[in-house]
Amino acid sequence: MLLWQELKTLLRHLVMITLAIMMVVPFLWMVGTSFKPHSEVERPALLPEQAQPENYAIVLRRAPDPYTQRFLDLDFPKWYFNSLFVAAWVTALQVLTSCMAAYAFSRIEWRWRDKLFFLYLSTMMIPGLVLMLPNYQIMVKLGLVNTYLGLILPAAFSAFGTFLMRQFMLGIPKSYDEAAEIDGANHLQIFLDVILPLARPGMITLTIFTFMGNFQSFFWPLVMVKDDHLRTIPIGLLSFQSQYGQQTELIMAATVMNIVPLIILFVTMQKQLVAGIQLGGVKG
Amino acid sequence: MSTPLRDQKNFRVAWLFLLPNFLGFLIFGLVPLLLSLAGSFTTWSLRPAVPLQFVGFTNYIELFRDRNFYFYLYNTAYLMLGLPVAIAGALTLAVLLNQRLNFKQPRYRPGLALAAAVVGVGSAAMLWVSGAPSLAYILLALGVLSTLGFLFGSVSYRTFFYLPHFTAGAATILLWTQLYNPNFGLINQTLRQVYDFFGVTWEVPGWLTSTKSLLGFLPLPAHFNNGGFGLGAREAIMLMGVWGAIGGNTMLLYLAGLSNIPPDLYEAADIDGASSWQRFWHITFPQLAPTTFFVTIMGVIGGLQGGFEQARLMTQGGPAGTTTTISYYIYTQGFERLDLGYGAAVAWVLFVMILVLTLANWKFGSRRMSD
Amino acid sequence: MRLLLTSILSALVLLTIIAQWLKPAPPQDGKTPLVWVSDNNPERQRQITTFNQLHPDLRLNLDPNNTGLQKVIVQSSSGVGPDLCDSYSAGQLQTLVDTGIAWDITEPAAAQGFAMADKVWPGAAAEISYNGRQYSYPCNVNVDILIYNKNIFDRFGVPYPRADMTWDEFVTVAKQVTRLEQGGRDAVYGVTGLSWLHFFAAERGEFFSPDGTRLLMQGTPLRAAFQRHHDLLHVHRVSPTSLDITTMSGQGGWGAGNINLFADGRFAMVTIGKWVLIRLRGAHADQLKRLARWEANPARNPAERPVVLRLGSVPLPCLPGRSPSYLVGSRSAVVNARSTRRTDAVQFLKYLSGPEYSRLINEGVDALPGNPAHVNLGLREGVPDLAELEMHSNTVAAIQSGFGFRKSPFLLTSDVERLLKDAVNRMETSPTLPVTELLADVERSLIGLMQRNLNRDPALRARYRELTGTADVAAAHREPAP
Repeated sequence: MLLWQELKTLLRHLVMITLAIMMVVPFLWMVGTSFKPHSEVERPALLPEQAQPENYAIVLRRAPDPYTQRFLDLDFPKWYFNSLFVAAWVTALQVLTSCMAAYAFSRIEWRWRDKLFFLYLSTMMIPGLVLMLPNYQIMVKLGLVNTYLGLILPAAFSAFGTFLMRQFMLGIPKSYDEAAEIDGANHLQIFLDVILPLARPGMITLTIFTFMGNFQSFFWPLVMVKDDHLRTIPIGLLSFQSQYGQQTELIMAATVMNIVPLIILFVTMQKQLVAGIQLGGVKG
Repeated sequence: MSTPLRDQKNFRVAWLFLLPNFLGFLIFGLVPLLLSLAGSFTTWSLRPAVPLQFVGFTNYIELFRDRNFYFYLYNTAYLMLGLPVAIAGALTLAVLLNQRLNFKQPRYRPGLALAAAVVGVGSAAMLWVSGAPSLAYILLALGVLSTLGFLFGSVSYRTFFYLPHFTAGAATILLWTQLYNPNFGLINQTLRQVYDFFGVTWEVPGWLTSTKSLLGFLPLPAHFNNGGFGLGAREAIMLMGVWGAIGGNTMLLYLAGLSNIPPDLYEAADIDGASSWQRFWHITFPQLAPTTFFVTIMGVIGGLQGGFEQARLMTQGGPAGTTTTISYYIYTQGFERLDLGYGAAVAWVLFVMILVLTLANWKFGSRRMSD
Repeated sequence: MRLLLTSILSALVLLTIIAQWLKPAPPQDGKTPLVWVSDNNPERQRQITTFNQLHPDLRLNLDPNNTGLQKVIVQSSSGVGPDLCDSYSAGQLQTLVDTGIAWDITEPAAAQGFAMADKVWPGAAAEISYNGRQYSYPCNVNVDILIYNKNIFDRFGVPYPRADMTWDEFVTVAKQVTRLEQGGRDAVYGVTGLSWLHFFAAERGEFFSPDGTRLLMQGTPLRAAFQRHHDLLHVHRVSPTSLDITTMSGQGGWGAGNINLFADGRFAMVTIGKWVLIRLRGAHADQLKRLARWEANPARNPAERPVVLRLGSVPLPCLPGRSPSYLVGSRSAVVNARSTRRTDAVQFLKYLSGPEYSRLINEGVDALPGNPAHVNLGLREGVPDLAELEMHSNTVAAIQSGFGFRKSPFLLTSDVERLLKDAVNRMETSPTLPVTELLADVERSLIGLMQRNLNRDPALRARYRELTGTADVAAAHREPAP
């Protein structure tokens, strides 16, 4: 019986591994391509015939471009810092304001609450493209074009985050608030000490979504940034694309360097998520 | 308990909580939204020579007369067929991940990890020496994957499944464009070898260069550019979307939802002697209803607005318009044809459709959840 | 939770301090800053440095972009556009003029000595002007030639393509070097990059009637060009479908993968500009390295000797009894009409016409410089295997027969291009669809778009009525153009 259970566990692992390799193969291709010389990029082989690890050095400006013998004009560490900086602020602000709004939408009873919430939802239903120009003109009026604030503010308030956190908070039994209220806690205390700890899995989930999403965002920074020192990674990657095609191998090298820290961040967050969920789960 | 005084106090407190978010929502959400709504009734244009005039429903009337609009709507809806697959896949993955992955016998864990590492590295080294580096590379990766999997279980698998999300953007687009190359891409090269092995002489799919679709047998209008039954550009984009979505945010949400299911429900089911399918169908799935509800709403909203990046970067909306979705159409109308008013009108028609679907979803979802 | 919030907040504040500290101080050198939105490539920095050296009072900076116009349009229509931006085609130039971004530089160009009348290749005029007014100056000028891989012709024992072929003779040659029967890894296609556009240029076709009021989608030149394209794919089978060619204006640059595949010997010929050398030089260098590695291997297998690319080129074929005519392309720089520094920005366009810049273009083997007077400045032999000088002289020969399509004030050329691209795709995927029907469809759709433009712009409508006697575009198309 025990052996059968162990076998079942092993089988689960094997299923997982099969699925995992399917998700990972394109990533293997990406790593392989990042080591290819330019002329091999279109070959379907996963690995280069003749490895060119200099690709990484080229992106980091430690080596010249092998074909022109010139150093590329780019500042990858600065892009990285900018992406990190913007995404961190956006995430912090978005999670905080979303949680607060979600608290108002889920734990307090007031007039027009659900109507206003649906208005919130409805802003997600219009494609962002048509909002881009009005939004941009507002930023011009506010004088925020070509600043960090211009990158952070518009992304810091999201209907999506509010919706997500509201759903999470709706799942927390009313009895918690009532008990705290009887103990004499005010709304701020209930929010900080009761609801937020219980909504932690939701917060971490939203953190991951927002951070990853913002790290990749392209269109808004494209029109918003004018100076070198504000460029984020997706905008910086444009340096490898020109009228005459792209340097795929350098894009891949930059992407691999880009995602390794993200993976580490994700894994730590994941551990938090597991811990947080168990906390919420036992009491729920 | 509900007194006017208390109502008023609640109202004030609620607004204090709401204020920071609401200000941002107002400036960056509602104001642009209303501007675009107003714009859809005018000659709003990027050409300064065109005077800004109120034209009533002209844009909307032209839009409903525009037969391409229905074609692009069809494309959008067609691409959304991937949505249930993605949701079901994410749910399956989450449920699989949530199963017990640690062995009863504590020695098995490091033992299997070591075995996987040794077998993986060993066979990779052998293949490398014998001149099959690509295969060696995959086996090495397989070895590393299983070692990490045995050692850290669910956390490693989640990370692997989430990997497509880290590489989103230009790199993913480049990757798939090359994989799908009909003559020289990895997918068709592999397919050809498989076909050769079985001795069949089928034609390989044209992927991004083909107007075929799995619904191609339907008698669609001529301007839908129906290439017949088969795998074409739309399937290619759908497949890529499903690949990215299965292990992504939806899976994370389901995982969070799964861990909120009280364990005593399962204990009760075990006492009743329920099969694992029964457990899933009668406990897990109903308990996950709020997550499914959320995921479906977001999926519909995202799906109807989707396909823009793929169209812009991979296919330019082609071949023959088959990958032009409504959002890409808005882009071409607004920023290529410079006709922002028309683009806004398309967006608002889309808005109404999403709104109706979401309301239906809401009604249906709320009823299911209160059951 | 409070502790967590506080620590996150302090971390963010710390990051902000670092960000402020990293922020470069605005330079206090009294120079006038100029922003140029363009795509980035390794050559750009040299071009900018040289300009800044020539103009000590100006400081030009690159703001990298993709080859789309959205960034420039959004910024400029909100009043914060760059001083200079690039137009990648005649169609984009028209869009930039219609959006009020491109500044009419006819007078400054004449005053500064870079007018299109005498300082630009005549064939490139359509790329930089609209309604007879000059709006830009070329950063480079390109015309496609026929480049062939000598290794493949030698392997199959086929004589190299001649310089004065007709398109029909070309097809015969292409068939001789197409080897698809092996399939898979050994397949060689005769040609890539070739499309209806080359045939249409050879017919000296136009999209619009001379006054721009009527579309010529059902005319003989376009129909013949489409038919040739159709036959190339479905009858002669010497070219793979051209999805990646027809998306050449795409964000990823020109038909991204096909150049490497050509270098790898998967295509015997390619119709492309000489700028492809930028990419082929790299491929050639890699092949030499591969060869050296093979030679260093004592247990080398003679059958696996790496191939090193050897190229030849000729101008594109023409039609029997017709003088050759080729489509000219250009990336050109536009001055933003709303820039407060536009008179300074004009200096950059003047620089593009000068010897220093032209020298850089030739050294970087980027197409041709815009000014014919400097066409050979800084020219080098380059890689002999690639016959670089031959390509250069063929390009110079071809551009003498170059031209650009007429534009219509009533419809954006990009609309025509987009709908024709769709039609080509339909033709590629449905071989049985009659070409005439396809083109009639395109014309119908374009008439609708033209009508929509007229409906929105009273001045445009008045002009159309003046020219045709009616404001109904469909009605105007029912009677022949004058």
